Amino acid sequence: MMLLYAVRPAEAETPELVGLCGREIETVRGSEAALIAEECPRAPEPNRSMALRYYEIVDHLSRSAAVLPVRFPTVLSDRAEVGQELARRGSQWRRRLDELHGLAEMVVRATWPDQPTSARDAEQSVGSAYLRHRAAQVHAAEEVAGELEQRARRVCRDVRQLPAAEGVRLACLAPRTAEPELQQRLEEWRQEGAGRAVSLGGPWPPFSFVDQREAAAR
Amino acid sequence: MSVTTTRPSSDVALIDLLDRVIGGGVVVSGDIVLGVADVDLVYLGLRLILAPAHEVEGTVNLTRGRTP
Repeated sequence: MMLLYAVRPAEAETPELVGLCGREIETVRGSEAALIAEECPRAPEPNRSMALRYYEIVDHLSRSAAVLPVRFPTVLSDRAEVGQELARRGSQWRRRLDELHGLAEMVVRATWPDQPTSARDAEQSVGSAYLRHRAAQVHAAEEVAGELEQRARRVCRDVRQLPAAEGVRLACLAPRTAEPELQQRLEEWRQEGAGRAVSLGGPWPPFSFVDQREAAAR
Repeated sequence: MSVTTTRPSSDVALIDLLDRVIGGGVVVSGDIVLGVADVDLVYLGLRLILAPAHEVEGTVNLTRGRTP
């Protein structure tokens, strides 16, 4: 079976890398895009260390050409099936690769003091009071997300809201060099309210921006 | 305290990174992963280990819905 790593431009040279199954990764080229894959005797164990190793490989690939990371862990039966996927979606992938050239993903986490810090807090309330409290929380989160998104858009080419167990999480698509400016915008927001906290993760390959339609639905 | 830039070695960055690795990226062939019969079980196991709570809940409901 073939373990998939990422989509890249067909003409990009693939660096020599050993994959999760201990074999050298290979390039299956279509006319416009290529799929980076590794032949594996069986699917890799889906655990944390494998997921991190997968990320390292995709990140390495992203440093020499644009990539569309493939969701981990995805396997296809053989090279022929990989070729069929390239024939079916190669043009669409190539358009997206061209749009993402030179861009990376950064993830913003923001919290503020007027929200519960654990699920236990919510369980201690009952009935309508709890529902009102939850509605206020959701409303506050929407307001903060909107405000942060507005500020991030001054730096980011695209912004997506990600699910968050606490506070707000946004994915920002921007050049790697834009990180200091994004930090500055976030710092301005943080200083405008007591108890606010912001963290910035990345830059990473654009996991949240591989496809306009799919990402918007997440 | 200013904006914290989280690096891959920090817990927060790891959570965000793993969340994106298993929750983002190109979906090929309807997310057919790890063979045929054990897809949901294996994938659910991964997400129980790695995913934040709000996503695990959705996955469990989805899997139950698929169980005959």
